[in-house]
Amino acid sequence: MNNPSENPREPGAVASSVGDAAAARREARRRLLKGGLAAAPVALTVTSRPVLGAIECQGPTGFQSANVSRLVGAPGGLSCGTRKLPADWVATGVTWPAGYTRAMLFGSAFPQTTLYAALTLEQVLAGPSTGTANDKLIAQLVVAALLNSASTTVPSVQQVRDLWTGYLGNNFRPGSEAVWPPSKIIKYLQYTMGIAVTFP
Amino acid sequence: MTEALAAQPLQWRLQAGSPLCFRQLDDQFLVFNAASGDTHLLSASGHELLQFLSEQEARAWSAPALAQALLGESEDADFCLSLEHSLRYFEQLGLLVPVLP
Repeated sequence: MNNPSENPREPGAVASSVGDAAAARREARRRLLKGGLAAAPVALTVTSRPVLGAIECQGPTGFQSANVSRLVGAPGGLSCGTRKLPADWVATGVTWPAGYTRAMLFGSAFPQTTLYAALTLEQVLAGPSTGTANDKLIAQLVVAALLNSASTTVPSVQQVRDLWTGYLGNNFRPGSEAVWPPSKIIKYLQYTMGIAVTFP
Repeated sequence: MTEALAAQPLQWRLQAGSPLCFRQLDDQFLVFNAASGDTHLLSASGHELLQFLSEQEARAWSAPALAQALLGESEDADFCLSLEHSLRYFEQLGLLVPVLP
């Protein structure tokens, strides 16, 4: 009879080997954690945000964190860089990123919406004539953010769409945070466009 | 109902959509948190704990459940308390977020 431990091709030997490895791993983990977690798990923290110049943009989840909130809008005008505003994109002669045209319908770019669905992106950027002040401003900002997203990764196209549908449904909540009111959605979108915002 | 809620252990999970980036330099471990922009030098036990959590990204953990998953036991009150302190510490650094029961 073969000894499973001598023949690693035997199924029993493989199972035993995997079991042994798991047990060894667990024992090593036990020694490490039971001995080590009495002390702090982090020895040092280095904050590596640049003080001047471009700041790496944060997604909505990062935006709500205390670290980012403390910095955004601090003296010095910290923001997340120079992305184009609605007025920049609507200006004559500005080249739009591939995949988007001035005649593209808002409803095509934001498939979940009926509000402004029949307007072109250019019309929305210029300012819709109907809707509340928040409707108009946030629609302008999300179109600009969508065009900005062609050359950046944060916020993503999906995050921009989620901001718009979340605004309409009053249910945008990144992570485990409370629902963002329109004012916070506006702050975040403006932050992604280089506007330093402040927090109360 | 209130008592039932109060009896539920606290839970934590990683920030959604914000993966952690681990690096090992010699015998030290670093983790970069893209959500905060901070880099943390971890103890070996802190690295083991955070690495495990990052491998279970979508799940929320209480200290006893984490003890069970890590060591196959959850009866060691001192260890569970150490775990909870570590989870709270990670929360303060923005590496974890609390999950409401």
